[in-house]
Amino acid sequence: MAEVLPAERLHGRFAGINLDDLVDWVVVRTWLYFGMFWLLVTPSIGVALSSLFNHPDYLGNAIGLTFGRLRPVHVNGVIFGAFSTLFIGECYYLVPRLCGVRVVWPQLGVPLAWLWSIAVFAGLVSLAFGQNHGLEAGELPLFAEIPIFIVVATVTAQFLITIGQRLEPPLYVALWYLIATFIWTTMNLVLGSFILPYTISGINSAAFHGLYIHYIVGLWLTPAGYVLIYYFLPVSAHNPLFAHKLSLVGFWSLALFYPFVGIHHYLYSPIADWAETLAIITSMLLIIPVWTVLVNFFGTMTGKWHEFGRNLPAKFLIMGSLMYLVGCFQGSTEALRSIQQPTHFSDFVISHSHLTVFGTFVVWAMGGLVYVWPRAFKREIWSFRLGNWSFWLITVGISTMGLVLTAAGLQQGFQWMSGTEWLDTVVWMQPYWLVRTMSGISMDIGMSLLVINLAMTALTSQVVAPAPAIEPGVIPVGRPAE
Amino acid sequence: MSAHDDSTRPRGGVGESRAARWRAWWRWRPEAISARFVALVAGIIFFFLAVLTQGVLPFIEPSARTTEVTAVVRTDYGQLKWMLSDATDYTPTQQLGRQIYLREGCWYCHSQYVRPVTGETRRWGPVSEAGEYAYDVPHLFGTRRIGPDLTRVGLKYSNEWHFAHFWNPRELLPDSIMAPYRGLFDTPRDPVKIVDDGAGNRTLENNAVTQKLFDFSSKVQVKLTPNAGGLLFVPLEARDKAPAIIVPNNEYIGNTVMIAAETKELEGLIAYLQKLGMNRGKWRDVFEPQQLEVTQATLPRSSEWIAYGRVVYERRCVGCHGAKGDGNGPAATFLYRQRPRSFAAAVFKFRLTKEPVPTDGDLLRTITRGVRGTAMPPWYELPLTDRLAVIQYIKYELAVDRSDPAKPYSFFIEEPPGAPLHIQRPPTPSQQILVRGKEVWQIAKCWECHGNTGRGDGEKAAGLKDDLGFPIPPADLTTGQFKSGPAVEDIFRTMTTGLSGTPMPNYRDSLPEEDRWALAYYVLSLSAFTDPITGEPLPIAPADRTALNDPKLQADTPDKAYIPNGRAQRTGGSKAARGSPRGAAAAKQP
Repeated sequence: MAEVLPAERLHGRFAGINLDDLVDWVVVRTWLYFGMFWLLVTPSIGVALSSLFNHPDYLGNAIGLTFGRLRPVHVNGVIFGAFSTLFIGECYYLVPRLCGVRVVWPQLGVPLAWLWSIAVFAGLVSLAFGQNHGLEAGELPLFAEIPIFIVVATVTAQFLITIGQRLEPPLYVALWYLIATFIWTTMNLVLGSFILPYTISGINSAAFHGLYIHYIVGLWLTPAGYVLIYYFLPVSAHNPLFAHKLSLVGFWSLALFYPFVGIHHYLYSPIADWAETLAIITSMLLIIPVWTVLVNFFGTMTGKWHEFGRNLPAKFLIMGSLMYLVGCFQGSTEALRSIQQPTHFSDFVISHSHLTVFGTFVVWAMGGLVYVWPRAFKREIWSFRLGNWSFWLITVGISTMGLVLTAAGLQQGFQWMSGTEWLDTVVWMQPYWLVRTMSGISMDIGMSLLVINLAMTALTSQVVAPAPAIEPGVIPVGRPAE
Repeated sequence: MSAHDDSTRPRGGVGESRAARWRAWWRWRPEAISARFVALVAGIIFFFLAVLTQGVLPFIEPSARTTEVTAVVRTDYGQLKWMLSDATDYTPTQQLGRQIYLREGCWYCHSQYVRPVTGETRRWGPVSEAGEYAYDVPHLFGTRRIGPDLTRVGLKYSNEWHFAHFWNPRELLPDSIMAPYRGLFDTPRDPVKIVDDGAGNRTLENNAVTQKLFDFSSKVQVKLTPNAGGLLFVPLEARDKAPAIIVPNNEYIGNTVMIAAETKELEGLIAYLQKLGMNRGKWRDVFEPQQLEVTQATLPRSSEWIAYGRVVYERRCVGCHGAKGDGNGPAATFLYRQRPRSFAAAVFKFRLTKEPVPTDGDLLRTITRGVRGTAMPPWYELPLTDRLAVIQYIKYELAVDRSDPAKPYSFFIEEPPGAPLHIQRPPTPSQQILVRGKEVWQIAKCWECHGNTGRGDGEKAAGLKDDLGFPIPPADLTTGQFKSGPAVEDIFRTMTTGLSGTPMPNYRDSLPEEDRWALAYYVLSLSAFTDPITGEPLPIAPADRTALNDPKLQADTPDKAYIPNGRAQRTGGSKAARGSPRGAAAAKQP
């Protein structure tokens, strides 16, 4: 990080601007502090839950500690806590740098961070006390959903207005995704929080919920993750983006196909066959955006692989991309009817959701975190060695989990199809579940070490010259505006 | 479209030609996309395009908003036929249960739709139909099956089985990984004393805790039995009854019990589970995997098969029947309406043989089908060798009188079963047979126990006991839940051999065969056109009943379901979309 780039090397209307001065560091730090808290807590709940598969009585008889009560705490906690908090925090870092202006309404950033995390916290706690809307990824009670919606809507307005005031008219790819992500999710939260739990009945409830749940992963997690990697991979690798035309293909194919795929969660259900087929076709077409963005990411690393081993943020980002390749291949193929016969309802789906939500998006957010955090304190990371341990523990953990759950899911799925007695198939799953818990522990230790590392970065006093690190090739990709 | 958007295309001259515009379009560069364009096209237009095609358009299809389902009904002549009918809404109790199901996240582990995929229709039942979900807000389809699908769980297990299972799933099924739901029970902290009521009966002490659970001033008693660990289950129906603790075979020898009482929430949850799938009527009575007719099937008597049978027994049976096979397993206290069978005396209800012992085929039939209306579930999913092996274990290790340890008496060795009864082809049902059946019902005094209408509320019903001294209620014949099976041959078998160990006698000698057939048909007619949960009559017009009664009407699969008169007009457009098979079936009506 020692590399210092003179502000003069920024050209166009960015010339002479110190981008570090544009960032509201207190806002970024606050969001990231909360993000690290969620990163410690919510995946651990998943690990605790996974042990119930092998030892169903180890949490006792308390109804608040049953799988049914705690599963949504884990899922919502990772989505809205760990990932979303880090993502929004990192957006507060990258939006002003890409726009050349400060984020508007700077006084709102910190209160929004508190409101968000208190709402998520209250919502998650209430889940354990039996508040549940009965809609996967939409379980949180109204008193949490309203503030969450307000925060997303406000942050959307903040970023859109900031982008409207940008210095250079051309938009970097990350900003396309950012615009789309926030607009989609603001609308989607209306559907999931205020419509679905109350009105639509029967199979239409399922169809709309399929849309909602896949909008959470497809129109929030996915494009949000793209925002992060499109920004942080080029800046951490010190390389310009590989191909802008590819990112164009990736963005528009994603925006066109992803909104349609939701019903692939309910294939073979009484929902209209043609709607299911449309969801299958668009699911397969998602291979286009996935592979184009991945080509772009790996292409961006071209010529920089020799520095890769020492580049912690890039390691997280590229590892997440590998997981994305595998996870999305699972996702597209399991939408096919013939593949879904054995895989749906089994651990194959759980493998897919962990490889994508954790292995990709949370890992990308951690890559961004590792990049931003030392800069927020104008320091080097406390220990590269410890960071590398985190990286490998997480990598080994998520790879093992992906493999073992895929194998488990295929085995149980085919046993179901061949008519094996139900509990016999459950007994067969026990060794797989044990390995799954182990892999979760590995990931959890990795994340804990990472948070310790970053906490030490913030707490230990280092003397580093206040050197703004500004990298070329990212912001003004086009010609200077006329 | 982008080429016509001023803000997105590269800026050119004022009077550019068409060709120049196209060239400009080709040169269109990613950095030329404006924020407004991204926001409007990707953010809003694509989003609403998808919501329209994947949400709104499917919603508009009439078949997505119907309450129409195919359901199985029993006709007056005892046949089971598919017909079109309407799903019904949840009762307030069931709706409460649905809220509990939703609150406890049951749906994370249990899906609620049966797919037309290999295995599912044989494991769970008929494929799901849209109308079954008409009253679900929100839907509870689920995405994972950590436990089995519950679409068809209604009446697969009895309420009592569910009590035991919610209390501790692993007591019933040691391999289960379901959470225990003791939080749904009312569990007073302090133990309650068992006291003498002054008339020689054992009851519970009258204190603040028990007053909430019983009415001590009531003349009606509820007879409860603690398990060997001193746990006593108290159902909600005990609220207006006085407690009586009965331990005829020293099921529990302590002086205090811990209480686990049913709550309104638990009652609702189980009512909801029993409702699941019941919009399809008596489908389980035509569910092929659960049907097994067998007179003889056996494994060789070998120590290896017996040892394997023991493994099966300890994984599946031990919770109710107990490790010693004495019917006093830890779950038995929940089974207060009908105790689990003790194998020790080798008395078995369902036989084709003369008393006392059944053939392996009889036991295999019972294990495969389960005993409907009781806590004995059907085990058709279990591999056939497992079922046959556990029979070996029951016969040669559990059905043994060990009162004299020096000389154990093995019933199945000392008194091997005789030849099974051969049931002839049943006569064709007719109005005359039903009239005769009703006469036989009167003559044989079936009504003394089963009641005049077959509700199981006859004058002798209250005092009935089984061979071990436990109360045993006579069957309610109006719901169509027959212990020994739903076919006329099953009822005939029960008339002929009786149910050993219960007050149900055999009529092999006292009634001629024609009368037993007539009575069997009459018994089946008591559940004709009734709701399988309540036993109440279904809203089916007399003309439709007549048409359904016609033995020539083929409606043995959902796609051949009988369409009630006037139905086609009522559902309008959706009829055409469903295709002709049902229409053809309707056209064949005489």
